[in-house]
Amino acid sequence: MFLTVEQLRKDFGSKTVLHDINFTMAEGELLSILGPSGCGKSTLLRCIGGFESLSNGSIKLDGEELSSVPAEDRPVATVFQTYGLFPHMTVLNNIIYGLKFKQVSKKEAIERGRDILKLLELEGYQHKRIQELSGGEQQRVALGRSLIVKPQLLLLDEPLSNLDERLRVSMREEIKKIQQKFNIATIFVTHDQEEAFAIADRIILMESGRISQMGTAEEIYNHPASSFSLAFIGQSNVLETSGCYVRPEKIKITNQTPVNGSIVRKQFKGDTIEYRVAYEENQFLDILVLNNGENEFELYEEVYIEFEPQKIRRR
Amino acid sequence: MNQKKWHPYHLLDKLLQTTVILLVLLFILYPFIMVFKEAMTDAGNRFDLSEFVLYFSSNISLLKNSLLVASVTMLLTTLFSVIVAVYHFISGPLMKKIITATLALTMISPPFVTSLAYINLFGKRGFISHDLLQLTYNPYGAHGIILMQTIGFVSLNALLLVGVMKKIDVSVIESAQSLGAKTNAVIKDMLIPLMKQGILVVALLSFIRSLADFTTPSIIGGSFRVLATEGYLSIIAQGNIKQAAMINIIIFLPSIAAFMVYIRNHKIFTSRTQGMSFSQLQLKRQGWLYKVCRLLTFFILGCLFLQYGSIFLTAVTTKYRGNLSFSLQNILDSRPYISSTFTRSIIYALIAGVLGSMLSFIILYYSQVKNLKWMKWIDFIATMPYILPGTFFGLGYIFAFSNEPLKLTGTSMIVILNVLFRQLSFSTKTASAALSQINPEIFDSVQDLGGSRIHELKDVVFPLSKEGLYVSFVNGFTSTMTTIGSIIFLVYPSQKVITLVLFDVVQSGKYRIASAIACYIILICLAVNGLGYLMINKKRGRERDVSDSRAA
Repeated sequence: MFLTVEQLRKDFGSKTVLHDINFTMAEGELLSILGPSGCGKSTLLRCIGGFESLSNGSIKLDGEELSSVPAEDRPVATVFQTYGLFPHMTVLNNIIYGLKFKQVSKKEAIERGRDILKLLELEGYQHKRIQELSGGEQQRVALGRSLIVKPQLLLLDEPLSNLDERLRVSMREEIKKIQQKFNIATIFVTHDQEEAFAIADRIILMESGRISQMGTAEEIYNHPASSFSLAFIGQSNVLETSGCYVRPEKIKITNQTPVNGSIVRKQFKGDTIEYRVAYEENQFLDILVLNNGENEFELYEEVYIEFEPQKIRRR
Repeated sequence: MNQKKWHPYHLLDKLLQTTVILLVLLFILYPFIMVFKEAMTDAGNRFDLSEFVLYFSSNISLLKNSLLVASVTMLLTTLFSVIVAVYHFISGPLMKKIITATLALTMISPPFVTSLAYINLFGKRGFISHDLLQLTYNPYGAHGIILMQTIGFVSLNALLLVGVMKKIDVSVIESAQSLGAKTNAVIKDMLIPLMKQGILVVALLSFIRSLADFTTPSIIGGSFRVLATEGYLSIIAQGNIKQAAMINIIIFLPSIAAFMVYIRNHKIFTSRTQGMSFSQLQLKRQGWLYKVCRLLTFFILGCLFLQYGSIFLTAVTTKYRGNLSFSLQNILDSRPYISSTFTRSIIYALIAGVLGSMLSFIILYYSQVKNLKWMKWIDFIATMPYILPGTFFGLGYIFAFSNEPLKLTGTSMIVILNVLFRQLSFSTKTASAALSQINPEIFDSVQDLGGSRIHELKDVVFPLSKEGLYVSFVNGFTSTMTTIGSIIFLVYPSQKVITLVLFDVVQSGKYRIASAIACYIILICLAVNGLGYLMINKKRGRERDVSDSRAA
């Protein structure tokens, strides 16, 4: 495997923030570490980047042990949440800073810097100051600055969290495009499920310092391995009697008889409609249907619902 | 709806504003203008610069000496403070504490204590030069002044720069590391450029402080004469108050440039730091730059330890036939010098500290929170004494308040007013930082619920700024306990304060008694600072407990 993390533990004082983290990653893969704030995902990334020392365990990249290599000597580049752009340098000087340590001549560096700027559609920005750039532009400069040193592994720490909604969506596509173009192994930390689902090849779901589940988006969504996975990823109805669950969009709702429930809430969302149905005793189910003209019901209407309860498959 | 209901609080608000404006104009701007008036007019109150030209054409060497000393001191002290700040940034938490504690300790003593220690150690009867090395080294002259000022200014400068560096976004440094920058490159490409503004301000402050410092040259200048000392002697020895005014204006001129730079950049010293949570920067302690910084920082810290160690040692020992022995003789001997001045100094410092700190919060509330244009000017005027030579400010008080109906000379009042308004320039900075931490919507809420500005002050500003108020009180107290330049002309013999007594004792060569008095001042300031530190930390500790329990 390209990257292997084994038995990684990180303590801050007497507090353990990462417990026994094990995972591997293939070359060219885009891996997302997903989890709520405080789950240790950024700390894990900082451990890989060399900004935190390990309390235990190992990190191997392409067969080489990294844990005792300082950040500046690791073939790993990090883009931080706040970008960490150098406020006292121009865009171009930011971009080519890393080449200083790669024995690249200044002339060659500037040429490569221009190429990167072109690729990131930042032509004409080279002499601007960082403060003159918009959030999205800063994001791209930070990305370009890391890409130019051709790292073996790229780390992105919540790179989109400082951008507004619309930009977030277009930037994440851009990141995916660039990542594929460079074919560079990338770890992308986020707390946003949609973001992770949209671009990651594989997702590591974390909960309070531990890996809760690993897999593709489909695997995690369709087969949650813990009640945390279930609760954190998507919406779900947990059935009081059996402890099974069902996703709102997996419930069929019709007006056939005999009826077995009644609508107690209706929310019109535009592309979808969400119903809450009183079903059996003390059991309410949320149901999501497409707003396609079929299956539209009124509040308090009696309906018939049908579904297949799912079990959480613990490993 | 334009009908405003008459309310006693609105009247109180207007009254408070007017009072604050009048006080600042009267006790800062008016004395400031009076110095210019005195220096630039003849006996018939006509504008006249002939005496100015005459004095300086015949004393050009004084100006040269002053500029020489100030330039070299500026270069050296800036270099050293940058080095100390860089080393502090890279070193571990324990070393950080040791450095800031040492720097802070040396901040809370009268400025000329350095010279006192220097004479104790290297003087004609000095502990090192005479007793240990048996040398006859002459410590007096330009080199002595430069050395003393450099060591004396390093503490404040380095602390200012440490504050500037705390504001550096850690991810900038980590990004550089991530791109391959080792410690050398981080220092050269990141740390130094990122504190450039701070370095500029620190350099200018050192320059004007050196130019205005009359105590160091008068203690160890020997035959080397500088402007500041001449300005001081003009009054003390010759009673030539006009000449003193002229000299002080010359000293003030370079300060104007410094002031402009300072006004534009002072935010770098006041805005809050970015929290780093638990992580510590993983910067390898290696590379020649780092090693140079470490060596020179230890050298400076060594000097500071030696300095305070020697003062303490001199205070509790006597020398009899060349043998040093422990003794309380100096402490007993110092008693007549401090009997009445000690309590008086503390009372002055308490009054100045409390009132100054409250006044600055009121000014900043009006200028920063309420955005009143008038108050912005008042805030600006209140900042002026920061770069005014102390003697300039004192001289202004003589000119402004020696005639009826504003005759204050000879009273305790004038001394207290002087120290109070001089330290406003520091405390307004603290107030500005503290007030920027209060969510502006809190003020809107007070208004919305029917409260007046007086309520905002009373119920929001003061209760929410306890920490800031305390910090500015402690700073005000300390600066009053250690200040000398601005009050030396104002104090009558019957109302001496302890720094002046110390200065007299040093000048008359009673170094052992002087050391004892210096120890008292340091201990008092240390106690007040320590108390402040404990109170603030206790409060922070409690806040941390709350947030911890919330997280758990």
